[in-house]
Amino acid sequence: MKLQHWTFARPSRVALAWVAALMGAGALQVWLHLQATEVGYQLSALHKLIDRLAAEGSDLEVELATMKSPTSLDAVARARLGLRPPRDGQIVGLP
Amino acid sequence: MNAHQRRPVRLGTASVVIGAVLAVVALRLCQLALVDGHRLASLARRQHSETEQLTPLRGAILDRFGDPLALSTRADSVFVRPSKLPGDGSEAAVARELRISRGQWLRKVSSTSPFTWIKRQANPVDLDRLRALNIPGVGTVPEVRRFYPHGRMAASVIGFAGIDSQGLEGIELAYDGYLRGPTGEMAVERDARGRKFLAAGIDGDRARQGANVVLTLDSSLQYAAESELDRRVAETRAKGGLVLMLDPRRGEILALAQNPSFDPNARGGVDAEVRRNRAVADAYEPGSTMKALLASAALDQRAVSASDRFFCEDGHYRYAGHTIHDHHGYGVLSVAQILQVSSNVGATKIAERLGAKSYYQALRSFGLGSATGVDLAGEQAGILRPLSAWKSIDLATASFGHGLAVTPLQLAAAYGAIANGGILMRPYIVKRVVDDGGEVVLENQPTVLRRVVSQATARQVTQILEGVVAPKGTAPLASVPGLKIAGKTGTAQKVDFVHGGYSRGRIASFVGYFPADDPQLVMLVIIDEPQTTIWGGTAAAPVFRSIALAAAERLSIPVEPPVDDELAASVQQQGNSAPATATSPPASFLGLSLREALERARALGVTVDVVGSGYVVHQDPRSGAPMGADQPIRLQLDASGEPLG
Repeated sequence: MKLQHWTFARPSRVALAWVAALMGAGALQVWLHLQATEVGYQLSALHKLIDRLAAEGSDLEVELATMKSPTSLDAVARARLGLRPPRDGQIVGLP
Repeated sequence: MNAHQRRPVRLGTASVVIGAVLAVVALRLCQLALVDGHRLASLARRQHSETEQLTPLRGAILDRFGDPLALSTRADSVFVRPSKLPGDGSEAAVARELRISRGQWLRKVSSTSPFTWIKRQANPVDLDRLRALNIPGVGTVPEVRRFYPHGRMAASVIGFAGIDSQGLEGIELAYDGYLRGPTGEMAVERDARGRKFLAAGIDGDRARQGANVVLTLDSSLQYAAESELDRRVAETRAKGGLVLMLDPRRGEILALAQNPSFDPNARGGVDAEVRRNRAVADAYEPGSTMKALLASAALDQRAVSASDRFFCEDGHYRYAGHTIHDHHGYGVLSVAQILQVSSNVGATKIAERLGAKSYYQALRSFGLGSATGVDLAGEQAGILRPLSAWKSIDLATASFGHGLAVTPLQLAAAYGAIANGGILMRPYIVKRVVDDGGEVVLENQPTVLRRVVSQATARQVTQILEGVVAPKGTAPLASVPGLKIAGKTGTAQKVDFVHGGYSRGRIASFVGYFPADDPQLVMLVIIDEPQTTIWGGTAAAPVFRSIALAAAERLSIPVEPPVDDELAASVQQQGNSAPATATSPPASFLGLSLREALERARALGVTVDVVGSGYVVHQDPRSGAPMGADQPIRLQLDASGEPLG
């Protein structure tokens, strides 16, 4: 055995290119995965925001409906504004 | 062998070792990927992927103008997994933040169940504080909370939904399938810290909001009905009451108020008796309100004519072994007068002329004894025994509304038929159902059930019923000056279901419609066991009047009060001589407010055209100038009130 004759051949450029391409593809894949995860987090946050805004919207809708209810309006009209229902003949139809 | 010579050997050895290790790794990789790959991938997915259930918002219930009567909001509920609680006492803060007692908290966390609700639909402020604690084993789940912004308004119609967003009563129950909406799913991933992220985007099966149910109710009319009813029930110290309004031309129910009522937002402990929709679920003996149906049938079948006169036996009439009584003794009365004064003896004699079979068939035709088909849960058919089961006295008692029972809706619908020229419409309360995309998925249309009496008969009966609200009728308190009202009072004894026979309690009612020459609204008012007065004309008619005033304004039905004689006289005295005629010079309107100008025009019997607002600054023709026949006076108004030219 003549191990002393073992030599390391210079890697061919094609092989280097393959290795580089594989490494690049791997890095790209990892980067894309990270990006997708990041977008997933953003999407999740946006989704939560949408839900929160929708909930706020429906809360406001409830509040508006409560304030607009004839019972509330009647109470405000009488207590705060001193209004009362018209007496007979007070309603005059416009021509 | 020197160092230089040993180097290739070491390199070779290292290569072999590395190659062997790589081979082992490659083999293991193959094993993991190819042999166990499927199982391991599934395990991994289970660990970091999950499907989140999306609860849809329950659809809204709206009145005919889109005013919300029931809405949903998101409200998170708090749960606990007892086995995952840290056990260091920090979780006691949860009870504090959610304002639940320590005993309650301990009971819940000592449960053997792996999952226990702590507080359903908690307050958002409490939830924020709770989340800040970040205690393991305590979590929240988004849920839907039902809210009724008008409180007790139309509560018996709308019903209510349960804590799990399921309809339990009323429209909420009857239209639950539409209101609930389909649940959705969304795939979410969890990272190492347990944070969720949407790796698969938001293309999942999104939850869709339930469909909105649009009712025929008008919340303004409903409010007027409820407030007037409540006031009258309190005034008469009655057990309760009911007001039902419907459009006779379409069959749409515009208002349905009942007292006592309840707030569906806080319905805990409310008796089922109070929650029941008595307009469709309860039948009562209608009393004299039945006489209008009797007169309609008798006139339509020409058994009597409006001018026929009957001797009313001075209030005591022996019939089939019984004595029929009137409240007052009457002599000879026409058909119209019999209804006007509500004579039981007269009604019995009309019924005798009509015959039991014809009367029974007419009552069936008016819809008595069968459900109206309204889209409300729990409708009863009332009680109208088959003709074969009638005894001799039944014809007489049925003529003045005893021995049979109707639901308030049946009676209102029957009067609706008279108001609608003899055509009976199917009553309904849901106008349409619209999904969250705006598409109409269900629409109710007015449905003609049948013609009950001829148009001429209906007109004739209407004229007769106008006499009931006249000063000599039983219900002058229902009259509204300037509005033609047709109606009928009823005062019926209540059936004693416990001891049999009749109890001491009375049901006072008034049912009518207006304007009599073109009816747009039928209204039934029932006062249950009034104490201060028992008569339909005094207990129920005033409610009709008050609501009719509000309804006329709401529905733009013109109410033309008669000319105030004092005003007309003062206008004439102000130097403009006699009321304007075809060619007489017009009075001066200058400087008057719009209200004053219109009142003066009405007093003088002239028509005016109005432009602008404020005070009259110009009129054409001018005061004293000649004017043509039927020529309107053009009034120009301005806020300044300074006369022009």
